[in-house]
Amino acid sequence: MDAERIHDWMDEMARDPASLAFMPLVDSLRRLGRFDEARRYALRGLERHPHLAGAHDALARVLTDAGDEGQARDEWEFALRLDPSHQASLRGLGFLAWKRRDLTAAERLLARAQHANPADDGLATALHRVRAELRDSSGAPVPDAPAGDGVFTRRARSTAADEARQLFASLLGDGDRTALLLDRDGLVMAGTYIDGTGREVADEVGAHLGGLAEEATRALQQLGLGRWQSMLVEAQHATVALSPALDGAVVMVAAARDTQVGLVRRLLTQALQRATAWMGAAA
Amino acid sequence: MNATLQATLGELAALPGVRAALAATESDGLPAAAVAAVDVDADALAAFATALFHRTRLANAAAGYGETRHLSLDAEHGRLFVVTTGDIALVLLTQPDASAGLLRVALQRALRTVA
Repeated sequence: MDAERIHDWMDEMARDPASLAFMPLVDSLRRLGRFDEARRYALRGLERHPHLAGAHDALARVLTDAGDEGQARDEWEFALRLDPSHQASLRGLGFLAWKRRDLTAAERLLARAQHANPADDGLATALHRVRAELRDSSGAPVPDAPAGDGVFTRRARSTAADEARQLFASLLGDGDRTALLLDRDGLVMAGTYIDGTGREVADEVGAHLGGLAEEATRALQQLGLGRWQSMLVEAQHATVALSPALDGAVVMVAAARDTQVGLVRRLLTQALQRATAWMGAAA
Repeated sequence: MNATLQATLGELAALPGVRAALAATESDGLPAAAVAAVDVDADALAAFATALFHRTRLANAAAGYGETRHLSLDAEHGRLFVVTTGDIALVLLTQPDASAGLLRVALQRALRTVA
């Protein structure tokens, strides 16, 4: 299965050197211990996407596994300059800090990472462990979570489904914004959409908007404009942006009409990066 | 009306990166007027751009987003912009690196002129 997917991603990279398929490809090669190939694809991806935090993270993971932690640290720090809430980079730097026994830095980084993705079970466990070690080493009390925050207990109980629902939560902020990852049939893979009445409408919205990708593909084929990269629609009550993701999936971001169009595009780019990394990790 | 429309399309077509500017009826996708580079098939552009806009309008209405006003589609080899007023759709086909912000404003201004 892995070999098939790796082959598909390599084909995609050969067809389209700018494809984001290098991210799951690098991760899969790394997991298989094929570090040289992983590093080569990561560098190739970075050449095309130097401002993509996920691309730096992909290379940093390879470097860490290959034993080059100094370079890995540089890559993760660069990724955080591009996206200060990039969860994987925060986690990676936290791990490196823990390895060199800088527990204070590790705690700070992992806490930021957890803030970026509250539903990450593994991270909650790691943070718990670091805080316990910090407590043991200093004798001072270090809280497992901010005072009055009962979320930590719930985090520990969160499931993979919760993680999928919360995939974009940290990107969207408190505004009237939402993001969904839809499969090629318009079915919701990740994200959540609560309407003004508190009703979950992700499935409905996904079903209506998912088909637009097919329509866009058809129109562009007929017009000889190649593959679609993104679509932005301004409607009476919302601005909606869509972009193709891996395996025929579509990432959708919707925001209240008064949200700046440029911000919606920016959110779409970030949501696409996150969805790509998530799909690669889930593969 | 025709002279105004043609003049408006001419102004849009003169913007940097624009390969075609046309007006079409949204209901049947037929071009009413066009200013396009010789290698652009205005009939096909009108048909597919309005079909996509129509499909988007239905999806937006069903999703509760209300009336659709502006659509832009970025592709490997070009950008497509569509806006409508009544049954008239204004369509722009541009180079991939054309300025979306400038064209968005120009289209909104053009829409007010032809409305």
